[in-house]
Amino acid sequence: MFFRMIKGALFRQKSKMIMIAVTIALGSSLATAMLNIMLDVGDKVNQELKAYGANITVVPKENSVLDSLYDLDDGGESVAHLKEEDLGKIKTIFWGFNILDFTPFVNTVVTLGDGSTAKLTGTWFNHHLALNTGEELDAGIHSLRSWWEIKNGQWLDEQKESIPANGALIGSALAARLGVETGDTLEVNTAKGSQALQIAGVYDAGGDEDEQLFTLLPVAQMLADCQGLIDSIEVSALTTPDNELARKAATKGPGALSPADYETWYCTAYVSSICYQIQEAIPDSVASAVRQVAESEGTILDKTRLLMILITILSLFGSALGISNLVTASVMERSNEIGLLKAIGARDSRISGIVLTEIMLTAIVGGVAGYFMGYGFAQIIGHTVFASAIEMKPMVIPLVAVLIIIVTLAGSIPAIRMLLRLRPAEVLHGR
Amino acid sequence: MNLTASNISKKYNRSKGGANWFYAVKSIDLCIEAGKLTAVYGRSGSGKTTLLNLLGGLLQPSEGKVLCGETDIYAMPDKELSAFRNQHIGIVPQGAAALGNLTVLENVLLPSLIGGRSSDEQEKRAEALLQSFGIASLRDVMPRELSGGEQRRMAIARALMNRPEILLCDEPTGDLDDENTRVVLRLLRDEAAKGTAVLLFTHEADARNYADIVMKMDGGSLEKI
Repeated sequence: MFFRMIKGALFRQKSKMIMIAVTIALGSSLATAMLNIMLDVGDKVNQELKAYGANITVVPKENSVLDSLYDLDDGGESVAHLKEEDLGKIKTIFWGFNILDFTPFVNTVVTLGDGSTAKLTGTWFNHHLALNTGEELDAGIHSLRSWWEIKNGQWLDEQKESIPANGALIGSALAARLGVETGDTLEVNTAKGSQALQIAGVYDAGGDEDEQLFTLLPVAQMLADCQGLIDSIEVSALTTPDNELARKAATKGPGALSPADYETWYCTAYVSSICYQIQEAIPDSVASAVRQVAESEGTILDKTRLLMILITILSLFGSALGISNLVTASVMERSNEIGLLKAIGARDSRISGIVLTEIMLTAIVGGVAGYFMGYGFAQIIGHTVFASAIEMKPMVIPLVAVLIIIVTLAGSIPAIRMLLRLRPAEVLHGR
Repeated sequence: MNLTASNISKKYNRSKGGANWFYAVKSIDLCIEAGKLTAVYGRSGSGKTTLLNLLGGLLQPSEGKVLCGETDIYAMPDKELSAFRNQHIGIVPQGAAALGNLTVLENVLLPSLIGGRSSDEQEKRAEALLQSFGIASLRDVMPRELSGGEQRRMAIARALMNRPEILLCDEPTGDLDDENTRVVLRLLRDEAAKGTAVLLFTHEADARNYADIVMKMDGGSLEKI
């Protein structure tokens, strides 16, 4: 009969129960969507942020020491070099899958036809790389400098057979100074040789790079007389925002960590652990985080997550308020019956149990419907904001279930308190 | 079992925070004896329902005691009082009080289920009550489909389900026609004859003919007629 009473109450108050289910479904859908996005947003936001450049630089150890000692970072020719053949090893580290892109640089100062000098950098543009592991990827400056605006001409495409071996991009400031345009040829000289560069495009980087020339790696290596060698590497990696452990490893070194902490740190995609693994892979190198980028990523990610949490909390709070109003109204509507049950000798706990069972059954229906609505919301947000699907995390299901139970119980508290205060003497007499 | 009220009063404060007391029931001494039907007359607002609630363990008196046999019912904790009421006191509230989503039979069975007694024997008892009250054919009907008289009879059957020693009825003939009034009063008379202490609050003049003791309530006070 207990269930008969519940079933009867559910059907008799159909419209109210539907409203409660809808309220719960809305809260549950937002919680589902936000929690799934929050758990998936790390990778998504990281991917987005990678469009704004590299977050790790790798230089020869000797250069790093000299730079540190004498604060040298003139962008000129390097004292020491890394080997070009070691570049592929970056993708073989423990967190290799988190390495999204990388490109080598060879810098040299060239003398131009008018006698002035300019910095020339050899790099990959969209170099196709076949690794020993069987993996293939396209790496280069094209995606690492996605904000560059090619004012005329186009990016050098290394995968086209027709690419000129002496092709180059010129910065807009330098092009303006020299009066050079796309299609022109620019003679550059160094002590080691000379080369006529064919200008394939003029770029606007919005910074110092507008005074530079970028050409293919072999051209710069020839001019700098460092065939098979490179000066530095820029790496774009998906990283996890730093925490205390990562900061400790970064400041005191991995040696200062306990074995357990070391394992945790090494197996987490902190920027410092990825740097450490790159150093392990490339001999005599020093990999360091572009701290500003890494910290900005962490901050943006943390703020995005905080926003999601706040939206989740607010939506659940709104649901709790809605539930509170509707359940209270339901109890008021049935105060006569509740008073009768009390008069007959039903204890408060038993009556509260009946009301809570009704609400929890409604919450289950609303919660399940809300979960699937949330799945839809998450996919809409994923495709609208990140242009990809949001991966639904199984752990969200119990999390949402617990949240719904808490919200439903919290929302029912005022109604239960009212029910406990309800005096049969008053309601049976119609007061 | 007798139901004894000893100098009970119920007062309400009309002004919040002030001391403007209104006595709904004023210093009443009363004994509802087993096997007798006591009828209390009184116009609306005379304090009849308040007195019923005080006697039925539904409303704590401001002063005085209510004894069921030797048991001071308001000395019991709420949980115990609920169980005591379930076992010893049957209450027929004013108006159509029923659980709308249960059938007539289920409504009558309710006190035994709340008291934790659920068996075929209980169901037979409920059916017997419906039979004796002339509504056996309505056992599977929902309360909203009953007439006023049938609803009253169902309410009395429910109040008697657990064989209470005390039966308190608040205007059970309130809006019934003459025939139904007589049926209900006859049922209460029969119940008193079986040894139950029956207290009937009514406007109904005919009730005098069925009552052993007749009292009048006015302004919260009670006097024997």
